[in-house]
Amino acid sequence: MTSVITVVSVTLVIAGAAAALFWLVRGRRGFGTPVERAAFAALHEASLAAPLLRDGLNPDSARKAARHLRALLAAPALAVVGDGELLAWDGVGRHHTAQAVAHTRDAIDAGRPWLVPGDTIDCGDLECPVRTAVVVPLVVDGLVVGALTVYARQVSAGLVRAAGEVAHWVIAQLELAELDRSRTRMMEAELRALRAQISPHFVYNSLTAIASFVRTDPAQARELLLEFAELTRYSLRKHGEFSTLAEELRSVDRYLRLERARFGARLQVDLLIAPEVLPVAVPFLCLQPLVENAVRHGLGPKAAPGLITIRAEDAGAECRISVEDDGVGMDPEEVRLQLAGEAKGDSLGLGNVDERLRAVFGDEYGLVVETAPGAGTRISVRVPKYRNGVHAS
Amino acid sequence: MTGQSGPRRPGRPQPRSQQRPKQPPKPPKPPRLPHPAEPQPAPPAPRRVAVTAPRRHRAGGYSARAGAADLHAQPRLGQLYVRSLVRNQLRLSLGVLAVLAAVLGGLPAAFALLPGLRTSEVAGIRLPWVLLGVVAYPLLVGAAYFHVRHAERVERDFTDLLGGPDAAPPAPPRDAR
Amino acid sequence: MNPGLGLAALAVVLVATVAFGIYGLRLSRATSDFYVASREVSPLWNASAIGGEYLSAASFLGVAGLVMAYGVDMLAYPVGYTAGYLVLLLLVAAPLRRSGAYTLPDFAEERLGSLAVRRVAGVLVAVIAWLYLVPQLQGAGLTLQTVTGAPRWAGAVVVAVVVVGVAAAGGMRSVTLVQGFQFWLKLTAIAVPALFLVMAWHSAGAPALTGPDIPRFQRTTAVSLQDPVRFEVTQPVTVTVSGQLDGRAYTGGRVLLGDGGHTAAAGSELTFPRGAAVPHKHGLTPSSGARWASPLSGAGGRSHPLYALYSILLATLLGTMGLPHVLVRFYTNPDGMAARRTTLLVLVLLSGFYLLPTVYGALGRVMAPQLLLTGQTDTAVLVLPQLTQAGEAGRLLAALATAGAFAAFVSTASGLTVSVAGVVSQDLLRGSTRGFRWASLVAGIPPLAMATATDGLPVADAIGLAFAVAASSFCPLLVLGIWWRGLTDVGALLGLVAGGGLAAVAVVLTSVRGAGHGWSAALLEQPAAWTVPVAFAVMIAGSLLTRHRLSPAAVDRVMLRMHLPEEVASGDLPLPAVRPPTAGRS
Repeated sequence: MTSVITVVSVTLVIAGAAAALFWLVRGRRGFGTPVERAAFAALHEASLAAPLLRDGLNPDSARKAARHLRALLAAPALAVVGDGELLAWDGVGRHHTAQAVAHTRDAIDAGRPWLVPGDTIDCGDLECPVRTAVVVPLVVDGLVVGALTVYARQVSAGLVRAAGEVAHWVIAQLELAELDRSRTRMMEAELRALRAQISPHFVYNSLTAIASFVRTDPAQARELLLEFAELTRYSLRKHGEFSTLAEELRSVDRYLRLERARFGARLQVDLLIAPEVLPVAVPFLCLQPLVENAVRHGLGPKAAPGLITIRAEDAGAECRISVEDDGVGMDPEEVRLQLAGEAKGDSLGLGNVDERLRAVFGDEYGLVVETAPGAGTRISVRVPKYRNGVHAS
Repeated sequence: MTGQSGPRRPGRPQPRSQQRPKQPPKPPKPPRLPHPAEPQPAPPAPRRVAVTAPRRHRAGGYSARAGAADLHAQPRLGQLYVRSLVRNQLRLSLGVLAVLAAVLGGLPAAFALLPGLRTSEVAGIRLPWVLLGVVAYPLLVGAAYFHVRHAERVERDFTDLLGGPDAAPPAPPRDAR
Repeated sequence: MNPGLGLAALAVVLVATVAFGIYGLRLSRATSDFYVASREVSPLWNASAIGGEYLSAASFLGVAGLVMAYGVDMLAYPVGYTAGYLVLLLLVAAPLRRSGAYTLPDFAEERLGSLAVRRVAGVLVAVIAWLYLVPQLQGAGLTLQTVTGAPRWAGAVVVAVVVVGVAAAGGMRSVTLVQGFQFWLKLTAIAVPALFLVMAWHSAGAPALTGPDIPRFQRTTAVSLQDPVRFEVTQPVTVTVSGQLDGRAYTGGRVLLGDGGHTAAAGSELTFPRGAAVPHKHGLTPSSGARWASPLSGAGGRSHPLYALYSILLATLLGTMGLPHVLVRFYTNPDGMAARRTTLLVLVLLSGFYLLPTVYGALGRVMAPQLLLTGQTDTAVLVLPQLTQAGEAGRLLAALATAGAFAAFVSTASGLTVSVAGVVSQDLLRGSTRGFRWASLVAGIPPLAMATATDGLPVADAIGLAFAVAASSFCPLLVLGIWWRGLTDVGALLGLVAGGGLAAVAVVLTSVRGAGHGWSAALLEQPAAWTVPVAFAVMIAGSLLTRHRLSPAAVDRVMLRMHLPEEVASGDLPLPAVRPPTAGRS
């Protein structure tokens, strides 16, 4: 008797579960109603215009953005006016372009949306849909930088509202552009300096080494050339201040392959990696200068084979990275000058990495260089696994 | 491939006399890193000196800088896309969760309401032991498998929605002409 | 048990742990290995590590002990421990990994941008970890005592010193391999003896587990007491006693134990005849096999079994995601999708493991009923293997079980210590290396003091309280933080304080006044059922009342990062420009 109840109840539960899951799977499909899809479309137009406006207001960006803005408003014509000049006209009725700046004058003077009545625009052509207009001034940081004019056969309240919203959106983009520029200017300057420092010597040496293989071992030469291309691509990539340790190590690997092609057996590398720290976000290109320093200062001047040891270890909420060589070592005083940014000449590598690490993680997290002439060098870094605002991209 | 471009000869092996503890005038107390059992190079190894950059009293925080990269991704706009994704994922999760709650939460209730279940047997073992001791686990794993599969599908659908059928090559400054 | 073998097992586990921790780095010499060495951790390996860190004293010893003493209701613990990962998978795994947070306070800061919430979360991490560490250390003491007869505090001190020492010395340079190894050790250590145990039960004629009688000694049994015990005799029995009983010293004399309470001193040995009813330790009500095997019967003297069952389920289901040492392992996953797959594998591994403690708990009642007398049912997993095989084989099995138990203490304790030390050093000491060493001490010393000072609840119960605190503090924070845009810093703060505070108060009251009866005791012993809803309610209400504090742009940014698949978020496919331009439109 009870086993009947059992079987029935268990069956019911399982059937209920199955039904619930079926409902889930069925109901999951699709991403939105027609209304939402219309929103997607609008959003899409806006999103296409956004990056263009990020360059600020100029004829080129205005011309490209205008088409999307007009599509957004579904207006027959739209004009973007800059500081006293027409930046872009999109849509029909191009014979009106000459007066476009004049149409905006009242609005710009008043600093608020303005309706341009039909009698000022009328061109006498009954078919011309450019008859009335609404002008919205573009005010960025309290300054009128231009105006957006939307033309229509008959401007409706809806269009005025829409034009206002679009203009606001454009203003927001322009403000962001301004913000973007000032924010990124500083932090990118450092990175740009580093990226631009693909040392001519390295390029020259790598290409020479590759060339020497072209006859003897074409496969190897091809391989190296690809490594070189990949390395360059990574170093010159546009986006992101941060990368994962795994990616940095991959880039170091490429670099070392190229160096090995040149040094051959003279260069030995030990890599000791704790796999749990590979996803840690680190400043972009923070490892390679250290390895390069080890190769150049550690092994370059030395005749005997040299060993470079790269370690990445787990240490609770931090990750410890060190690059060590058994080369000729460096003069501590010289290193100190480099780290303090007072070194003469163009030694950028270590100081730059140190500077960026400290800027990102705090003063506790700078490079520690242990070295002496003849004693080899070890450079150590600590990186916290999480820091607000630091995300690998 | 970064660093100075000119040939330099730093840290040349110095004359023996200078090689010994060549203490710099004032080493700025470096944070000692614990590196046990570090392989030291050749026998007559001179002592290394630890060097760090001078302190500059910098706050560690970084949040102010975070904005730029993210703003680039247009969170307002992205949020519209993401909301649909979040809603779908949440619906999936809550659905599985409801099933879990019904099954796990239903068991004690069933035992409480139907005392017959407490002592009924399946293959010679008491039903509650079979359910809680054995059957529960494959059910949990099954629910997890179901969720992982479908959550990944939701993400794939979402990526398709973004990329379109012919996922365009990524080229941020796209000229829409 | 043979103390030599037991100590050897302990030594092997400790040495293996430290060695794997120090030398577990991946090495490459040739460039061709470079890729392998810098490859991210595979889901299976990572899942083993998560399982290894998660299976603590409660899972290895406690579940079997509770089942043996209190019956089928206690299976809610292993089911809940496993189902907790399902809930974690459903609600937390992928978004948390994508958020980039390493610890729970990191998540709080990332999501809410508030240092105040971060600090409160840090305090809660320490509280939960301490609550969780105490039973680990007590379990270590119990195990060492069972194996070698050493005093209780010795095992706790050994484990605490090793764990804190290794953490403070920065010795754990790579944790994943250690923890993964310890998972498989634990699985072996519980599975192999279980096999022999079932065989032994069969060869003993498969005595019934669900009979109408209370447990009886299957053969003449000598019970050595390592601690003083007060027990209740229900059926008068004549025993042979050496040592002190009821205040009188005996040397092998026969004594008739009448109905009622008796007290035996530490070091005494009582020999019970075959077939005698097993007297139970004071506080543990004897129950018939039928009652013990039936759910909601309150076997062993537990009150309000239905409420307790629900509360246990709720605490374990929702508490798992709030355990400090669980979440840090998710960071090792390369991306959100891998985090999900890892969780799925964790579920598979845990499911395999949790099939086994039940076997010990069930068979222990007939094979080693004397544990009901000593009250040390938590040692069932250690004691039973020896009874299954005569001679060396039995001792080896026991040594294996001991190794598994120590693996459980060491892996969980080191995971917790490192998590707490990380949080303390980051938040209080601004991340200096020396700070981490002090923080390791801060993480390890208080629980050691608590573990040696108190006798403690059953291991799995004590851990249940840690789960309850986690479920009533971090679960709402994570769930609302990930899925609800409206969570504000003030709301989160209030919720954390209310939920975590109430649960912590309940824990303190329970441990101060001990097990009790009636509703108030049930509510305090299993607080999750009411503290979790309170925490959610406070967090939501607080957020709604402080809605003006929301910064939509910041919330958008975090939500985007948590929910967007990496391939989209990586920037290769920036959102606005992904769709091919619809050229025909304009």
